[in-house]
Amino acid sequence: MNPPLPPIAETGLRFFGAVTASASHELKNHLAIINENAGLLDDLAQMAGRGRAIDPNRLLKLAADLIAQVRRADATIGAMNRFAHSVDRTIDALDLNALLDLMARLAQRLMAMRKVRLIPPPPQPSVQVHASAYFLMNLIWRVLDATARESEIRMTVESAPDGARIHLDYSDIALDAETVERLGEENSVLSDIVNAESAYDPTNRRLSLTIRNAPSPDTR
Amino acid sequence: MNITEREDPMDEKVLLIDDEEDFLKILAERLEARDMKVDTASSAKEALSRIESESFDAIVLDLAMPEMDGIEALRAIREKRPEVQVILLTGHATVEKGVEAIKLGAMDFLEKPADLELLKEKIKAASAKKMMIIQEQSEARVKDIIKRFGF
Repeated sequence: MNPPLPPIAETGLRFFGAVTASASHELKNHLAIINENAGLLDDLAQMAGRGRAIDPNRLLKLAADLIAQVRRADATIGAMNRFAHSVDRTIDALDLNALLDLMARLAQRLMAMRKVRLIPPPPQPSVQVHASAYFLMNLIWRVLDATARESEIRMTVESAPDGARIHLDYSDIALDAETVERLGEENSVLSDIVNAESAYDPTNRRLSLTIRNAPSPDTR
Repeated sequence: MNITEREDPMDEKVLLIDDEEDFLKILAERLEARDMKVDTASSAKEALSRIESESFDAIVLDLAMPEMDGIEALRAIREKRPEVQVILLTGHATVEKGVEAIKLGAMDFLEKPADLELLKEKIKAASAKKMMIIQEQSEARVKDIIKRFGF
């Protein structure tokens, strides 16, 4: 019998699995649309072969739809690639705007299923923190998974003494004390790994994660 | 309940349910080109309201959708219209989900991207199965009337 996985390994694997499943689902959808567009082209070519006139604008529209789907699929693959490279370094200098932008893309399907609109930070100067990209994303994913439902969640970042702060502002729901407490307990190991502390402001429905810089970036 | 009558008994009447509207539009166009009458719904909620007033031979349902997922939708469709045949067409294929769907009464399960000719065959099979169920129900009703009135 194999020894049981340490909880943090299991948490990490589940995160990896959830992100991969979601991205592959997205890709399947893009491929399905590309497949139907190609099939329609085939239908039109056969009709043209039987002497039926085909409107060139129809073909232009089909070509534009195919290009749009290829772009969507490429964006999904690009996000998967950035996610896969998040384990390249144990500690890295992270641009939190870029990291949250990636999170918004990776969590898009999960959020849509929960009727949540997850809004990445607006374009702004880079806010950096030294931490593990993978474990920080894992922590944010778990927080979203535990709290996101039927709301708009706006993500913002700001610099903090010796680190940075991520804010999640919930437009339509308030987190109850039990949920906030459970978040702390269930994510204590991940929080320790990325030197994060969470705090919830019920008045402003704002959940904040303060991340202190890890001692030094790993430059392996 | 106002059931819309089919105009041509040779055409299969299909409801496609998927949250990807681009996919719905183009699949509907291709099935219509194959002499099927196609209606679309981009959410399970919209589909459930549609089946209240219309009768379909087959429903092609995406398994993973926002608001109400495919399994919940399948359960609700089977409650409202037990005779209608549901084919699941999804990019989110796990064996467990497939087994659960078949247990709940889905007729078949196809993975995206699907072969249109195969989907067409399954829709035709679904339509035939629905007709058989309706025929059996009619026969049972006739037998019941005969029994009750002692003909």
